Amino acid sequence: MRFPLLGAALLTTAAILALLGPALAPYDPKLVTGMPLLPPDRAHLLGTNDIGQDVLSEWLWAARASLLVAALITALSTILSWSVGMVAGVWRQAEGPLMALADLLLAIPSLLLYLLVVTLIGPSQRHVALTLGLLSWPAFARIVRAQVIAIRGRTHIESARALGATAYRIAWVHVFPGTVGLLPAKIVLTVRFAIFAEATLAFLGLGDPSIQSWGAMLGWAFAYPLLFAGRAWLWWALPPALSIVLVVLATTWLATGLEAVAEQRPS
Amino acid sequence: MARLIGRYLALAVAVVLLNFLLPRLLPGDPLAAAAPDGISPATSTLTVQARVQLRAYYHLDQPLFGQLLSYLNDLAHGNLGWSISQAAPARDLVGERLPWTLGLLVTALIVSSVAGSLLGLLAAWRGGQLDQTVLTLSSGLAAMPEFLTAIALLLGFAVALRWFPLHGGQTVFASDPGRNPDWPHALVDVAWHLTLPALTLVLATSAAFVLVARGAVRSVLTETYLTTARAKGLSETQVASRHAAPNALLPVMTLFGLRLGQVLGGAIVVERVFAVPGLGLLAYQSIAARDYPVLQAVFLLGSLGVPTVNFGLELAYRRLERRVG
Amino acid sequence: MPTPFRVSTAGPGGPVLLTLIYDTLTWKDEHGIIPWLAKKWATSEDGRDYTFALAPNVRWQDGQPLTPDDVAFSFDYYGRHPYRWTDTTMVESTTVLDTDQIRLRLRQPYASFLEDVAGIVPIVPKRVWSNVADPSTYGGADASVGSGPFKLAEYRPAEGAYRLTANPGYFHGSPTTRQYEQLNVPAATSVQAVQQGQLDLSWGTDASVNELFKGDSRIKVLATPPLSVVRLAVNTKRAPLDNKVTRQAIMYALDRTRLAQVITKGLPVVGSAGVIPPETPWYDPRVRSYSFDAEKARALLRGKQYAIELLADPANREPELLQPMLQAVGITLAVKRVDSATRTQLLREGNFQLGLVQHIGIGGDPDFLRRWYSGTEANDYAQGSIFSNAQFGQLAREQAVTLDEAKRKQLVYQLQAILADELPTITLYYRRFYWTYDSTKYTPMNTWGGLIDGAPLVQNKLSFLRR
Repeated sequence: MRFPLLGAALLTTAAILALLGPALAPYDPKLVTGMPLLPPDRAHLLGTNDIGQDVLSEWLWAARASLLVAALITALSTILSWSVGMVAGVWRQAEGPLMALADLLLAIPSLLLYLLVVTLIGPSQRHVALTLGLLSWPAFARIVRAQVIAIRGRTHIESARALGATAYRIAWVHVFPGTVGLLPAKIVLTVRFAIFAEATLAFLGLGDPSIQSWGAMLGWAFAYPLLFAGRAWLWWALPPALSIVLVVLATTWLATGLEAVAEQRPS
Repeated sequence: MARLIGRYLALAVAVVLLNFLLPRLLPGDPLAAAAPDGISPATSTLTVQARVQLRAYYHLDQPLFGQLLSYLNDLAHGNLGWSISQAAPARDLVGERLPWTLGLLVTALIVSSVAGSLLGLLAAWRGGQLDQTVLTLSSGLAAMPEFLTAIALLLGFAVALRWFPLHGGQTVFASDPGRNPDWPHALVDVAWHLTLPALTLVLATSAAFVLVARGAVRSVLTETYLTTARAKGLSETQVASRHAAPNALLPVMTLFGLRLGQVLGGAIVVERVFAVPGLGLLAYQSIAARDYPVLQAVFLLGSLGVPTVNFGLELAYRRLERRVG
Repeated sequence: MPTPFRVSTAGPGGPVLLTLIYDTLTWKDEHGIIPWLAKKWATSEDGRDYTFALAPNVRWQDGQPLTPDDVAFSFDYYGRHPYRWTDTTMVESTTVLDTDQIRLRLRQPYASFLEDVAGIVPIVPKRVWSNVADPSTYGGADASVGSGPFKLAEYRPAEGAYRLTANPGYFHGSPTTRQYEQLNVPAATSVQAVQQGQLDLSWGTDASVNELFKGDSRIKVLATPPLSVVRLAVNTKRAPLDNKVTRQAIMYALDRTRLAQVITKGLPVVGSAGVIPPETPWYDPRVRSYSFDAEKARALLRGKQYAIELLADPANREPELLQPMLQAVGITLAVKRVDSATRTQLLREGNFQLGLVQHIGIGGDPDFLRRWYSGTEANDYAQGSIFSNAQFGQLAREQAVTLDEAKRKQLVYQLQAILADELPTITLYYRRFYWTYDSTKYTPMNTWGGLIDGAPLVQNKLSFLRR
């Protein structure tokens, strides 16, 4: 029972950092303010990176970038997949082509698809968010559609139709609420997917190099060939790594809590 | 049945066409790519005549439709083209790398599905402290992106402890006079090299199986037939294995099938960190080099993997349904 | 497959392997050009005829003797199937004079022939390749037969790994190294791999390895001359960079010493405005230098503000340092990150303003300057630096045919002076390659003017032979 609260607390802290972070940062993260690879000291609480930029300032700005991207992707993916799933479930004509498109997208290895797209349109943060959001709808759309079909078959829908309700009304009033329960799981999974995907792409050198996200910080760190030859990884790579893990954990805990609450409410 | 086959056939055709088009829409010329460190003879002195020759050889000077016809013709003959950057048949390159990716991913998948499902089953069945611990561990693991797990294992076990090799799928040449190159030793050598990459994958994917199995078992915990079974005098183990566990089978198998289909997408992160010469790494290198033939080959293989497995699964379900119903 | 027609273009491995498996007419040691397959040579008065006398007792790795027919055949074959690393089109004809003499006739004199052509083009066996119509696909068992100190024993395409074994019958004596393996290893752990004994030699551009192994009795570090250049290719056809004063202002605005220090973590080697790096034979030490002077930069720009776009690789760190330096003089630098293939294409199309490029191939014969700025040679990074200067073109063509070394040096110095004034490219800094090696197993060496075409590679075949 404690964990969901802890999760909520962590996420709130993260949101605050994301909003206020840049104001709290002691330096402009893009400026070189010290010698490269300095260990933490009073001037640089988290030391400096391989070209002498302040790691703490970088980390704070990165919080905003990472969380913003994750939020964007989650929003885009959720809205898109939910709408597609609903439409596919309610309108018979749309179901075929939509599900066929979903199948095609699911068949193609997503990372490879992303690599191609990003090389075509460039790896800016917008493109990252857009592409990842657009690529992650098929799986959840199918789940929503399955749920919609299940609900459709229930008797009160039949009666509503018999009474002359339009498809739109059926969808909004009857089917829509029935699918809300699927949301917490979807959101958690998508936040996790978004943060992981962004970090992995940055790690592989394929993200947006002008935006400092936690994944980008890790990408630069691991691209430095002598990272593990010294102790620099402790203050340069560990903080962004831990942040990623904590945010995902917090989301998971919070979602478990929400699910437990939903289970207790009468349907 | 015919509709089912028709649907998957249409999907396969769409995949083939898409795979041909996508790499060709990229900007960048394959003959001009440089190695990221700037050391590439192609950039220092590739003469104009050489470039023209290579271009003609790889059909790059034909219009797009002409390239498509050549592609389809080659495909029909099992010819996947010639790699521009590595001067070898694309089919050979893919063929060499395929066993590595398959071996690594299928092994990891089997281990993580079996271990994960058993753990999930146990946690749901016993409940209480065990359940809580398993849940916490699983969520903890699921919160770590794959590349972090990979780096952590590399640092801990290869760099610091020196228990495992730093890179590669095997000791490439049996050059040490003391090393025996016969197949049992080669197998051990490969296993030694692939332990850390496989462990990374297992850690990254078990959590899903734990949760799925646990969820499935929990949903039947209160079913009356379990009480009946207990009343009949069956032991806990028997009740668990005969009545509760089979419920988990379907969702676990679905997940397994889904993951299996994705295997050919390659474990690109793990392959990069540990330098395992698999398909994921090949795809990454080919994109940088604009190596069209190799890209097409990898895409084709990867994209046809999921529908093939799904098709097989659907056939299996139908057969199961017919038997049960 | 390491044949001259199929070797992989990814990474430095390919050319090094070719130099170990094959031989060339001339070669280079630490001090200059030395005889190799050719034991001596004579040039005609007009500089168009080169008569080479071949060294005795040279055999192919399959035991057959290497004859002038092989040499003649090689050059003829390259005429029909171009060699990727060097242009050989200046060779007009080949004539076998004797059992050990061959004459090569050029269409016009070519000053760098001995270093850039005779010293790079691998001699291939006639009886293997004369039957091969398409060398880029030929993969027969004898495809990698050369005359060099090492034989190809095994090639693993999936790992991109090669194993070479010593050729005991080598005409310069049996190599001291029994086996040479070349592996593809992730940069992140290559230094540890040498430390743990899994590798004997690895390279990097970060000077911190010197600190890491200071005082180590087994692992040592060899630094090469600064033969890798990091520079900005400039599109001189687009404003504001079409004005030479703007380009000079940028040169003054950049603290290139600090840039080099921060990135290489070692003693900085500032970029020479004449492109040719210091510590090489053709460098002009008196070429105009642009010491960091932000005031001067601002004065040159007369207070105008500019916005310029820079193309860079995702992995480059330099743009983050360049931005504030240029901002301080009123230039806003917009950085566009694209992968290297895209960048090369954009440079070639002239679709850019500034492009950050880094490469090797500048330490050897200076004829590359002519090819960059006045020829049709497909050096993509250079073609982006469109530079039409009549005087440069004329001097460049002249130095290419000037055989007198002193006169040629003067011409090359003049070329550097023009480049330093016009700045079609802004040279930021040079990098050394730091080779970490196990001194109990191998001792690498630096080659005069860089290995092959001026590369900071240390696996000169001489380092594997008794000397």
